[in-house]
Amino acid sequence: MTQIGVAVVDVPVDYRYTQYVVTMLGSVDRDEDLHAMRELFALARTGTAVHEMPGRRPIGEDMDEDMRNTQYVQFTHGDRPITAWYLLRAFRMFQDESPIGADEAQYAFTADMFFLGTNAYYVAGFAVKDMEDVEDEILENDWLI
Amino acid sequence: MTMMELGFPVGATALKITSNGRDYPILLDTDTFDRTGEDGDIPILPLCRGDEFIGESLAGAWKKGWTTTIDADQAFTAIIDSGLLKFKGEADLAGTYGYGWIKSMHVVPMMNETEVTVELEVPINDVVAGNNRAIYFKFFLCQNKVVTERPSLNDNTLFVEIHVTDNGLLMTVAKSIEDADTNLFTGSTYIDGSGVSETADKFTVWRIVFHDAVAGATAPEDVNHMHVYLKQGVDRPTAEGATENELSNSPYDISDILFDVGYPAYQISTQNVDYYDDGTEAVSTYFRVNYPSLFSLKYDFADADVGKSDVELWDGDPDVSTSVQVFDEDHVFTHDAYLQNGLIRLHIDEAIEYGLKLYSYYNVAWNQPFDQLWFNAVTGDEDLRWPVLRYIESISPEKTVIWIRLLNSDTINDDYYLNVRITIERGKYSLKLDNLDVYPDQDLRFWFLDTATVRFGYVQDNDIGDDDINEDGDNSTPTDNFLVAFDDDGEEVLGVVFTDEKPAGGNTRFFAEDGGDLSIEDIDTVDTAGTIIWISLIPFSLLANLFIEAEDATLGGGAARYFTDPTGGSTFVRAQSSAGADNTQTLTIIGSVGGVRTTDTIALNGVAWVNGAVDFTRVYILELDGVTAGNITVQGSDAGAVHIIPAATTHVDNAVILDAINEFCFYPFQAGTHLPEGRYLAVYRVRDTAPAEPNDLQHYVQNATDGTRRNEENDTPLITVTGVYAYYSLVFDITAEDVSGNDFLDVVARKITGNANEIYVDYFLIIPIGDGANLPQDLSHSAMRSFNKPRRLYVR
Repeated sequence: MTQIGVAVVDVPVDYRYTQYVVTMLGSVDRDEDLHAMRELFALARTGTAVHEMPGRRPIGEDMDEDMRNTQYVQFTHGDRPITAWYLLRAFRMFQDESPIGADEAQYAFTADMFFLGTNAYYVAGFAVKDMEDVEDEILENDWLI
Repeated sequence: MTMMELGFPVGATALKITSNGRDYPILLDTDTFDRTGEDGDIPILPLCRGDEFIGESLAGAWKKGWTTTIDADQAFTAIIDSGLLKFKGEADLAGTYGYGWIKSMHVVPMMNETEVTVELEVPINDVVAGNNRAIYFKFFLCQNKVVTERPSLNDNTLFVEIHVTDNGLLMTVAKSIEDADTNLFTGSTYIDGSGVSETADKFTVWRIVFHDAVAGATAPEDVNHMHVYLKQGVDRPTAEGATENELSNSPYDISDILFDVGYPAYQISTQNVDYYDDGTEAVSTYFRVNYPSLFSLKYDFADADVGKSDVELWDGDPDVSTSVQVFDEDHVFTHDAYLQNGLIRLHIDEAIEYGLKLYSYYNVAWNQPFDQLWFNAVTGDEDLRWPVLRYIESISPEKTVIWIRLLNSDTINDDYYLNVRITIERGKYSLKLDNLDVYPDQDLRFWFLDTATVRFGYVQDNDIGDDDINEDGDNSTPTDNFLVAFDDDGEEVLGVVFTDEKPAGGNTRFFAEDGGDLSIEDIDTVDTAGTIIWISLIPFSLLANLFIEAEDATLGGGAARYFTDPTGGSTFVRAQSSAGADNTQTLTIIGSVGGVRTTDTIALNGVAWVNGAVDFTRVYILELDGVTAGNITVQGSDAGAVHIIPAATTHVDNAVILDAINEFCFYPFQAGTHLPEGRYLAVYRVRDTAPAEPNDLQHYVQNATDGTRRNEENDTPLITVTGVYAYYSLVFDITAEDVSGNDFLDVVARKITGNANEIYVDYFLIIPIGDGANLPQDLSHSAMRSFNKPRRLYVR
């Protein structure tokens, strides 16, 4: 099983590795699951960037305000990539199409994820910012609470 | 007390705040509390944002304590009076100090640039010559949140102190490290060493600003330090308008203090038998906390907890496998939109009447205890109940914002509508509605209710709605900003509505119609865009213990029940009129069978007996739906008399009569088992026989185990009860010690004169107010402190 954030893929078919990018090839047997994957990657294409400089480790950047393209990806099956934080980069699929030879409906996809680092290096958290009305101290209200 | 309700993911551990490179560890379950939702326990960090001391009741986050040496003529009290927090308490014995204090359960991390501002007033600047007269008023930041120990005994504190003796007034700023106090400043003005003064101004405003070390700066700014500023005046307005001076020897080195997350506290100390009393209280008008505009919260969580308690937007019912969670603001919906955070869930049932459906997670299931959430466009009298989703503003695991439109029918057109922005945040029980835009422009009325009866509604200031007696709660000048609805026989949840704007249009009131139908009437046309309304569903499993009929309470001293219960031989209740013309009215009988409230109806048939169907063990209320010409006799099937309803009377109910000195009745309940720790209102529904006897009803809440008072007066106040039924209330506490000791508490009503009037006690009602975490005032005040909390990934 692979869990990308809150989305679950039962059995990925294969992985391909290109430097720090893992490309996951897989299929799901329900249209809803395919759309759930697509929804998770909805902002990936335009909301992320990878900066490369010769001789250095490429840097992944999540440009979404809420960092929704940064997901904790867990792999629990054999011969798997590292469970870690990944930047969701791209998702490709063919709607309503099963692979040739499939006995049942199968919806194939591929997904690109850029490796950021494991839990040993990163910790999830929040940045509290932009507290409204900090100068006035209170959200203006008639009771002066 | 206001807090920033910072919700963490389920399973979060190793919580800490990071600011300016420093870590401030947060202790789970000490500094935080949990809210239980669909995914498990959600840790909430209540970051203290101060208190403006508004409302009927001191916030539940302030816990009280006092020593027995202050418990004499004037016991210790800390009561809000028109926006002022007043402390009272006199020494039991002149020359022996008595102490009283309140301590906050919300933390203040002393981050770089954190500002704490507090106003402190003492009643006098010179207690006149004589021994045993000294008084103190202190404000603390304490290392621990222990309430049973007075703050001045906490080993590690920072504090500001005003000390008044017969020599005059002297102020001190000090730090205590392992119980060793070091004075940083002493003076009667901002000049250090300015000495005790009999004419020093006794109204003061203190501002403390914490700073981290600045490398290379002049000592003490090269280490962790604090600046302290003072405004001082002869009265409150003068002090507020005075020039703020930094204390002459500020800043101060605090690099050696042993805590960096503090709990605020106030303390009075007195060896004086005249101070603090009525008119000579110690007073604070506000206590404010401001944090730096950027700091981080960090935590660990297990792989299995990914996504738990996130805010989620779904295309379709989240419990149905074909639904899809939405991450894209441009998502095209196939099914209805659902918005949820594990505690509450909003279903936008498109173009369906009452289609804004709010659910609460309790009893291991999603429940919809209130099924109507809608507005009324007042001028056109158009009910705006049919929602459609307009668009998604933002989606994140912390906060998701959508826009909807409420229509006046299931026809999607533009004749009448209301655009509303809806926000749900992590860890909050509240749904936020704002940016109200009604077309055509006009006043708006808001409704939150259940189609089934919700018996009680509370709209502040003794204004109670009770459906069983057709009583509306109607308050045009609400003291606080929240409304509460619940039914002691109903769903185990409190329905709460709160707002930032007082209604200024039309009826201008908070309204609880027929009990728990909550309404804000009306939002003036000019206020609609600026008004925010929050709707909260707060699980409260011990709801059944919030109400008791007086006749079911404990009676003593000769107090008697007003009705006679049906005898054991009766198997149903019957009724007849003395007038043959009374054959159109229906008699409703409300009572109980084996303790369960039950209703029966009898259609009158003139002078003939008509039998009911229910074998009541107790009858509470008899109610007619129309005026009768004759007297209506109601009795048990064995002809045992229950009651006669006089002609032209449509409503009588059961009560306890107190008609002689020291007759009493009280509601006993066990702390913890029957109601949890917190601050509550004890509401009495009582009347007197006219003319009312002045100050004849004594009411109080006591710990029956040790006899101490739990109402905020710390005394047994007397009230004059009017000739018609009305509500009277007391603020009281159930303390942690009450709970741990399994103590019984009594809500008591007692007649104290031997005069001939009769006091009728109908029932006792208890309204949960605050516990520093989850109750209506906690949520409604904290909503006035907002923040954004975007998710980040940090390098360890």
